[in-house]
Amino acid sequence: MTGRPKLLSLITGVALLAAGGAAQAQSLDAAVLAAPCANCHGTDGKSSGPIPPLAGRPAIAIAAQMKAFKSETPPPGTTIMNRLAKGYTDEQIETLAKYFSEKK
Amino acid sequence: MSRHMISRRQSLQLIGGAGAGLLSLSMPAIAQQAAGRVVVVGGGFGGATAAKYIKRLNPKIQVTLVEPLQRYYTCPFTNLHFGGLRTFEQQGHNFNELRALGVQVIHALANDVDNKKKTVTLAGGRVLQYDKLVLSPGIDIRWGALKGYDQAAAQLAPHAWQAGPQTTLLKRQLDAMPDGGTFILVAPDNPFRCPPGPYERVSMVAHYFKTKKPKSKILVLDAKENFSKQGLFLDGWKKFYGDMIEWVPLSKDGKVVRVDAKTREVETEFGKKHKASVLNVVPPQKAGFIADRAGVTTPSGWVPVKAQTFESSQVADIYVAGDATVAAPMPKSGFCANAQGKVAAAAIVASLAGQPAPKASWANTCYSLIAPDYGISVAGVYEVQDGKIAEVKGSGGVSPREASAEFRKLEADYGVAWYNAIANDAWGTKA
Repeated sequence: MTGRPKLLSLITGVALLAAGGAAQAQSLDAAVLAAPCANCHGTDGKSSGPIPPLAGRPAIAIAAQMKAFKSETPPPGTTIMNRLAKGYTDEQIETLAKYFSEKK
Repeated sequence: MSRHMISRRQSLQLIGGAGAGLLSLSMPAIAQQAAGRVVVVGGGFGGATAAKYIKRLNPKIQVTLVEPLQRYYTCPFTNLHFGGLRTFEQQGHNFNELRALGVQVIHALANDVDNKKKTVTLAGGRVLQYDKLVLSPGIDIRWGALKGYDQAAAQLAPHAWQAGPQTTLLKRQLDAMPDGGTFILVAPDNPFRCPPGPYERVSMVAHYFKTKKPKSKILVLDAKENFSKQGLFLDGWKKFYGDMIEWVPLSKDGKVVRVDAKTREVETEFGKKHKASVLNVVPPQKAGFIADRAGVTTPSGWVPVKAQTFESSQVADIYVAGDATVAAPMPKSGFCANAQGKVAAAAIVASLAGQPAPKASWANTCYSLIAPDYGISVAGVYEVQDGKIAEVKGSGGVSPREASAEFRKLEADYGVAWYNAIANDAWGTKA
């Protein structure tokens, strides 16, 4: 308990930043969740090849597409994304969709 | 109470410094603490990616990458070179983008690690001090583990399981082989780098033979009973190459126990001898030697890691990514090395800022090409369950056994697109 005043002052110091900082903390988790997507869709989802880019697309569109991939009747032409999308909860899909929608 | 306070402090530090690189102006004290020295050993999929992503997450961290080669060649996609579909140079990557990001790139061999003094010694004697060390050393061959297969033997019967002179040696031997010859590939028991690799290699050699040397034969002598994407490979071999490829599993005396590289002859467990025109031995493997020097390997030869961070289970502040690790059910693939490098990078950035690691998540995709326009894949998504890496239930798996020609063509095209994307992600290479 001897360290408590110091801890409290630290808490006071960073608490001011909490509102903006919380978003950053979440974004590090989101960045890790999104990290493997880059291996096909490009760094930050900025693909220049035949695999579609994700960066800057509306979150609602990315999430809808992921949920369609995840379903037992994925859209015609679906290959690997059915198997990958099934690895993510709907909540994680929303996180990924928001993450890539904010990449410009 | 004090435990509660600590966890509260940690959570507030997480809030304060998680985006240390981004928030540094608004919170100088914590951001300054976040800076540190990271040394990354190995410039492949795991190491190059880790170096890049540490810099991206916090540019204030000093990152040094140690890699002997000025131009790094990936093992993935060299099989297409054997098929005559790509040049060797197409698998080469430089470190210009990493330098532009502020990574200090040193082209030298890391010879030793002192995990107490936290130093890396390079060939030539230079010593680098680290706060955090990333090892992504790939594999070394277990010379002598297969009787008769040593470094001299590999000059006659290449493994070509590390891209470079071994790759070009095997290609030259295939080019020089007369039509009607026999190509033998000796496949190892698990675990080894790139589980579908031997079978993609055989596919691509078969494609080359079909187009240039159609009377030739291929024999795969396997120390295993099953292999990655087995059904899809066997179907594809039959479809494109008829009876050109014969695969001999462990139970049919497929396990090679002795190699005579001079005569290109191998002997199996029950004494059967096979003579090759071109002999490709994929031998038993272990983590790259620097992992031994750092004290992170077990007698298995591989590196156990903490699932959440890919920090060594044995030595603090040493993180290991890629083929060197024990990360099952994740395979030893370039994709996984990259994904692990990113998890390690984020964990290091958080730790240097005094914060807990972010929640880990990984995926894998491995494409294999059986013939031009005929690709197959395996995929997986992974998370931490009860402190261990586990595949997310219901995710992943291989391409369907029944699929249209269009489906196979798409997976062939996506394989190339994957390679271009991951090479760009790791090294900044433009396709």
